[in-house]
Amino acid sequence: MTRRPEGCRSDLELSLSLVEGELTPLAVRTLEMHLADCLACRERLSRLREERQAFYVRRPRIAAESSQPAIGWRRWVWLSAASLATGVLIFLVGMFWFVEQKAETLSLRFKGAAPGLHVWVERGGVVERGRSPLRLSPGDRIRFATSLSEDAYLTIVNLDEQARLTSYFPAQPGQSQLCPAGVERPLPDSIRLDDTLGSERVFALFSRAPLDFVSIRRALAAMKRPGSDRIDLEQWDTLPVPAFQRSVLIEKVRRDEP
Amino acid sequence: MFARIDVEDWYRRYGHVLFRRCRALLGRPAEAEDAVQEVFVRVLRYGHRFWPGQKPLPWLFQIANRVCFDRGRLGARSASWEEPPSAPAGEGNDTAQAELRCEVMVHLQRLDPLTQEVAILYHVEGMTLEEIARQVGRTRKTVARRLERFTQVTRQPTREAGGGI
Repeated sequence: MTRRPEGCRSDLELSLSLVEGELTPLAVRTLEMHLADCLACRERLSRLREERQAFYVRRPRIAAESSQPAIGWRRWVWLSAASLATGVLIFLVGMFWFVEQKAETLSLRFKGAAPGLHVWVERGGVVERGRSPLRLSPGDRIRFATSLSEDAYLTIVNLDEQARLTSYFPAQPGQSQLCPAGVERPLPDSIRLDDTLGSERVFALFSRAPLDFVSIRRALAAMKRPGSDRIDLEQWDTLPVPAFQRSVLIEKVRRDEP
Repeated sequence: MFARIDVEDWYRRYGHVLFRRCRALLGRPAEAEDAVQEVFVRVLRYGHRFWPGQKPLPWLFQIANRVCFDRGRLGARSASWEEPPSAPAGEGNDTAQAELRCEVMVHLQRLDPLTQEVAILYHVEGMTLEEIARQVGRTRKTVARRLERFTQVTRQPTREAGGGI
């Protein structure tokens, strides 16, 4: 990798400077002095700050939100018999809490292989498997298939750079539909691409509970650039909604465009 | 008396930092986000191993490295699957880059956690030996020796590290 200029700060240090109290006061002062004279580091810091904000919009929290006291087996050796009985009781309560937290943590995780989204493309009567990014034209057709190790709710939506959201599956916007487990199970309908040109991204949202199309639309607000109604689809490969996601980037061009 | 871990606070503080690490090792942002979730599942599972006074971030990095190595092995194992066409173009999606990343991951797994961390901080984060020494809490000399050890390992033929998940 290309080494940065002498004196410039690593991305890790700049990232840690955004974490309150992570750098020592001396390190903070030294960094501030350097940033005053270094445009490159200021720009990198700005980019990292934006990236950090975007990360926490997409994933605002982990499913298990509470802390719990960690109990190590070795430490019980030091306790007296009376506290050992109390400690065992606390341990049992703690394990019950741990199991519940773990179950909640796993609410967005799927057993076995992760959900997969497959795309088939029909252009001029020829059908072939598609891989992101797709270069397609108005009138082309796409069809999706899913691979699931267990039944899951599915919504597939299409989002363009002007933040227009369309429901592909189910065809009418509403709530996610339950899809059965299976390998490369095709969804019932294919979609004919309309005449709008430009970039679009298709998101497949897999979840254990139905997602509501309205709540997905509301989440788009966090994706828009400040002072703009446009969305950078290169940056957003997942939507800020609690679901396991796969996405496909589509570039729609005129058929005769090179 | 017991090590108390505020998982939510750790996520707010270090979630993005860990995401950057996982993205560098795995190459795909979506997979890196999943890996960060897995890191905190393991924090809950192994929190009793975290002692008071220990700095959280080095421990979290160690877990994140392990999660990424495990995912790298899983990815190799599920080669029979058709890869979902969801990886965005650009970062991490080039075949040559992916192969190089796999090879580096294999080498890293043959090393102890400290050497892994030194190698990642040097080659991935682009940090100097002095910066790495401050980050991992060791002398510059120790860091240099660990880096040399990584270099020696990468000169050896690549073979799959460990066995099984």
